[in-house]
Amino acid sequence: MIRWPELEKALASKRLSLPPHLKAGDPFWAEFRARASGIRQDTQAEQLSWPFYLWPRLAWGAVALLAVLLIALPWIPLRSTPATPATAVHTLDIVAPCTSAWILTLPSDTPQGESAIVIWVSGLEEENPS
Amino acid sequence: MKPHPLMNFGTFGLLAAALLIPQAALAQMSPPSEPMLRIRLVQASPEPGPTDSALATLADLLRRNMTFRSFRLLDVKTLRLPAAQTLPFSGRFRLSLEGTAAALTVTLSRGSQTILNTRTSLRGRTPLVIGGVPDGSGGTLLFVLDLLAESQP
Repeated sequence: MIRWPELEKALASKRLSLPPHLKAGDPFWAEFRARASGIRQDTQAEQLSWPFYLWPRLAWGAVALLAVLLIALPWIPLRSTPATPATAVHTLDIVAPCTSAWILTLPSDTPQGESAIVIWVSGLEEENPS
Repeated sequence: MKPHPLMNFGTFGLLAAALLIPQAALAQMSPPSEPMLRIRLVQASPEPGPTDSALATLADLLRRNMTFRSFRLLDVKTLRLPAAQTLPFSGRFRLSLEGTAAALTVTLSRGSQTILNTRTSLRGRTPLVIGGVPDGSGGTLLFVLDLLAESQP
């Protein structure tokens, strides 16, 4: 018959497998688990084990994240694209005689579509052949 | 205490990533080379007619906003920016271009007569259209300036 000291000794030596005649529904087993949970003491190494468990995984996770960023970086716009077309007319000097001149922004139908900036000069005379 | 073997791999990976990522970021953030400028001379007509396929996108845009219905590509010239040169076109037109895409001075002349000069900035795929110039045969000429991607012909 197995005695508590023997089980405690087995527990202390990390040999946790129980004798085959101890079944889960056995009252002896229930008492053993209750007592085992009470007598178990984490060693200092075990108390420090969680950082050593987490650190490599965090490091590998960071490496994986950085690798994904490294691959995706060329496709990530670092500067936002302006919503309005940046093509612009800053100064306009109509030298030839004309009736009117306009600077127009032709909008596109869709945000992805193309727009255009138009300088339109009306009433220009056709070139004199002479 | 002996370090876990994975710690060495993790530290090495972090160091490698720290060395590689700034270089990739710097490569992306480095100023791009000046692009090619394309100048297209287009004859626009309010009469229905064929439109050159190369002008399809621009023609759609102009049709939606102006009275023109057909467009004919008369000439195409390209040059690398920054520019400081004068390009001749048919009909004795000349287009003088000076500067970079961000600050481009354009002067349009016909023969000895200067029609207009303007200072513009070109960005992305948004073209600058200089239009309203009669072509002498009842049509209207458009000078279409846009930046050309390197892969485009």
